[in-house]
Amino acid sequence: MKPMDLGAARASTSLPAALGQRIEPTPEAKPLLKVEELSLSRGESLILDNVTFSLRRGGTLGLLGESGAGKSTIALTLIGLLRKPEVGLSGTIELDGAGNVAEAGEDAWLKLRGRRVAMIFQDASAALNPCFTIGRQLMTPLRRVMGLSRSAARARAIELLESVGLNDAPSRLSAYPHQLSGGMQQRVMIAIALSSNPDLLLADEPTSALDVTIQAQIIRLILEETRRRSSSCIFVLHDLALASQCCDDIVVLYGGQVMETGPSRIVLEAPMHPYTAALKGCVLEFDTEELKPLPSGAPSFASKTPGCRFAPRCTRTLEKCAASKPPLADVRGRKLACWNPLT
Amino acid sequence: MTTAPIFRLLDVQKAYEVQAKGGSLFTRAKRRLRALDGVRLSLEPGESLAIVGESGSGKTTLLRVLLGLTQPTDGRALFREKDIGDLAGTDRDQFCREVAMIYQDARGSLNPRMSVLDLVAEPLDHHKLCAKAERRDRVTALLTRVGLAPEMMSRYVSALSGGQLRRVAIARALASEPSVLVADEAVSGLDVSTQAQILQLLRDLQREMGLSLLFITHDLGVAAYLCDRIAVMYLGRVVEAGATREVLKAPAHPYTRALLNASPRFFAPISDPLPGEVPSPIDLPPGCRFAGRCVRAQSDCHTREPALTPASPTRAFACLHPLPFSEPSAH
Amino acid sequence: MVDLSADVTLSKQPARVSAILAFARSNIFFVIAATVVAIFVLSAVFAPLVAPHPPLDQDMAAFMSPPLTESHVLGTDSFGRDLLSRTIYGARYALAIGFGAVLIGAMGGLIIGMAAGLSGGVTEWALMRFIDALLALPSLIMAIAFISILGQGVDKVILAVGVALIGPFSRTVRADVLQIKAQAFVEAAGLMGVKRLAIIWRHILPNVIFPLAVQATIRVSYAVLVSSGLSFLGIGVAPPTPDWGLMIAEGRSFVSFAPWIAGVPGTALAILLIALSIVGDGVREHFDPKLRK
Repeated sequence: MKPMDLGAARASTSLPAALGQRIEPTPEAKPLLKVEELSLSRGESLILDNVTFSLRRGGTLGLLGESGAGKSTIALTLIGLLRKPEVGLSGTIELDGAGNVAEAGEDAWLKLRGRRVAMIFQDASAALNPCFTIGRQLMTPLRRVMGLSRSAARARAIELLESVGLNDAPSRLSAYPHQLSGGMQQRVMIAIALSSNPDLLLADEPTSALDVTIQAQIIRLILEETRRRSSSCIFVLHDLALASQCCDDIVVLYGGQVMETGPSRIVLEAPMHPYTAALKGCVLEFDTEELKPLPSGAPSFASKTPGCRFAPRCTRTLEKCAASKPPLADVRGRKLACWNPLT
Repeated sequence: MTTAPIFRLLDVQKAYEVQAKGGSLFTRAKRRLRALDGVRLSLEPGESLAIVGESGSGKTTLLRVLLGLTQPTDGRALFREKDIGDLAGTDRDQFCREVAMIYQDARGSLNPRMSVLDLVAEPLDHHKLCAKAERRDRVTALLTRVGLAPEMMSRYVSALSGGQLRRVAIARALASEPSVLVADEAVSGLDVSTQAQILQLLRDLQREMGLSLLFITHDLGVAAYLCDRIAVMYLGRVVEAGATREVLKAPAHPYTRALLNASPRFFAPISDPLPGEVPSPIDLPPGCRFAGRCVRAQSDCHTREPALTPASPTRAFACLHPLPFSEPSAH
Repeated sequence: MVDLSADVTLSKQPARVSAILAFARSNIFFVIAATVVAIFVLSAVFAPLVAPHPPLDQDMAAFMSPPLTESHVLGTDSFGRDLLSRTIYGARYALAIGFGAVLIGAMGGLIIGMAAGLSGGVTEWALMRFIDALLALPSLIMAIAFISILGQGVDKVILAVGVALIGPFSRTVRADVLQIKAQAFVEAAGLMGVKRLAIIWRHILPNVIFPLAVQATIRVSYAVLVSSGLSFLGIGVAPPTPDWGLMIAEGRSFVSFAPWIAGVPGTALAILLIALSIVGDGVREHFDPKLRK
């Protein structure tokens, strides 16, 4: 690794694309993923309400919001773990080359999951099976999904472990998950997820359970590896500052509704939606003197509520906010759903 | 006359004997795990101190030593200049009353079979702080102070949200009229908006009531907002201490710098992270415990262990080749 | 997680009724079972008012009559005693023994389990071995052994079955105590300076009693079964007590041509046991998820 110059704050430029810099898309490029008007209901509750966003190839997207906003729900839907008929699903999820996967059945998903779409979870120690060695958990998808022979799978497994930064890979293969630290477990999970070179990697709060110095390592690893494979990545996050660092585009969610979405630079530098602005106001910088917390409350998921779900807590609410839901409209380089945005 | 510090740790060591690999079939190699390895710390009355560290830094063990739940194997842990482990009788009662703890797991720290009223009133009853007749009024006042509706009194833990439970825990801590609040990651796991509310509440309370605050956290932003002073721990030692704003603006110890770099900041590109992981505290190599991961390490770092030395009235660090901190850094 | 904020107003009357109906709809088996148990309990309590005949009355003119004979809805046994009345009175014994035995078992289990969970060192070890000894014998065998020492009779059966249940109860109580002891709120109380005994009384005990009550509800059906078994074997209550086990035993010889003599009490026993099991399961399902985090 290049020696760190602790005085400078700029990233090294040895990566394929300098982190934090947007890759400008080619105009004709078809997006890898296009989610349109996705709504998900469970019983009487409408958990996702007309969520719309798209992700281009090689890009990173952040699903941002607080707990209960629906971000993990979206991730689980995108990997087919939440499907009809267990939940009520409407809208389309267009995955390039696979059509509308919102309608796909389990057999279709079996071909996609672990091959074109992979997911890593927040708690690696819970996601790894404690009864099997790392080697077995890594090699099983390589043999079953990719059809490699035992020796080829073992060689590939060692390669993968080394690429995610685990030294002494051959001995790691025979280790059990509990023998590794949290950061190492997460690396193993990333290796498993990336073993099939998926087009789309879903990362659900991948670093929330880790120390902050390990967090930086893991985020960097995910970004490097996905860029190297030209995969796209969707991060589910609650940390706005982290999102600004690692996501090209973000979607701000509240109560299952999209509040604001667009390039992270534009949205987070000058948020126009009151919720995004309020969230930003709660982020602690080292020189924050005053905090401006949001008033207490939680969104209502009743399917009958017609308006914007943030209205009860919004300081800029108008009469029509509770009556009708504002549409997602293009405003100043982003998409915004608000009747009374900030200027 | 200077008032005595509330807490004082003098070269506190806490070592555990663990069975490590090695030794023959008949003898099991015993190694010493030093969870705390010579900690020097003090908390003055009215002061707010943040203890920042990652896993393995020893901050949890430090907390347990301060609360008297465990005794140091070496060194002295003092509360108002008396050994915490030796406190008995009225001294012990005074300690229990003056030091109030807010747990990380708010839900687990509250008895699920007790109503909010009983929970908040328990310290009042135990320390006999008010007459039976006033009990309800006192609890109402406390709940209002932490931003909860008095009607919550009749509710139980299972009906409350995470943020509300934190507030109940804070109200309960305040009930004993403490002089020190000790909080163990009291805002981690909360939504950003709830976290902001709780932090604002804690800061207001601390300033209003002149409480001393000892706040354990891994989040530098929280430390900066809440606390005047900061102590950064690594592998059982304090590696840097001082006024929070000063330390975070221009850290002297490379580990503090690494923590700063790793903390997400708006639009800052992800800088090169600290390599490797926290080494096992069992087999610590000689010399500075951070030398293995430090990019600035030089030959004497691997042989000499630096001690926490004051560099100015407001700063101290344990490093043989500190970063230049007299000039403000690029951050 | 959806937040239950403080300003949720209490339901008004129509909303309450619809909430009860909604509960009934989603837990239909529980409601049916609970109703059945309620019917048994009420019949047992008001037996003299509900039963058409005194249970020991012999009507030799109508002995061994099948069900639906006039004035004997469920038939009579070999002594001409009305089966419906005997079954209703039998419910008294079944429920009394069931609840009584469970009460004894729970109390004993609570004391031993708490002592085992809260003590340390040699005391804990000794109590653990004692519990192991209690658990080594199946409850039925243990009850038989106690009956042989105490003799027959309703109160002796309650005692015997009760003591036999102490082992299982103390095991669950000890497990609960260990789990609760490790919770943060117990440590927090200690930090406040609360003395050990007060912590046990105020913090540990209330959290133990609740799961114990749930366990007790589940075990009632087992206690009823064991006591009926003892009576069937002839070592429970003494004849002519209208105990179901005894009635089944009495009807054994007549099964081929008068099956109702054993069938009526047998069916009643089966229905009560199933209903008690469903109710017990329902109670546990409702309360356990909140307790076992």
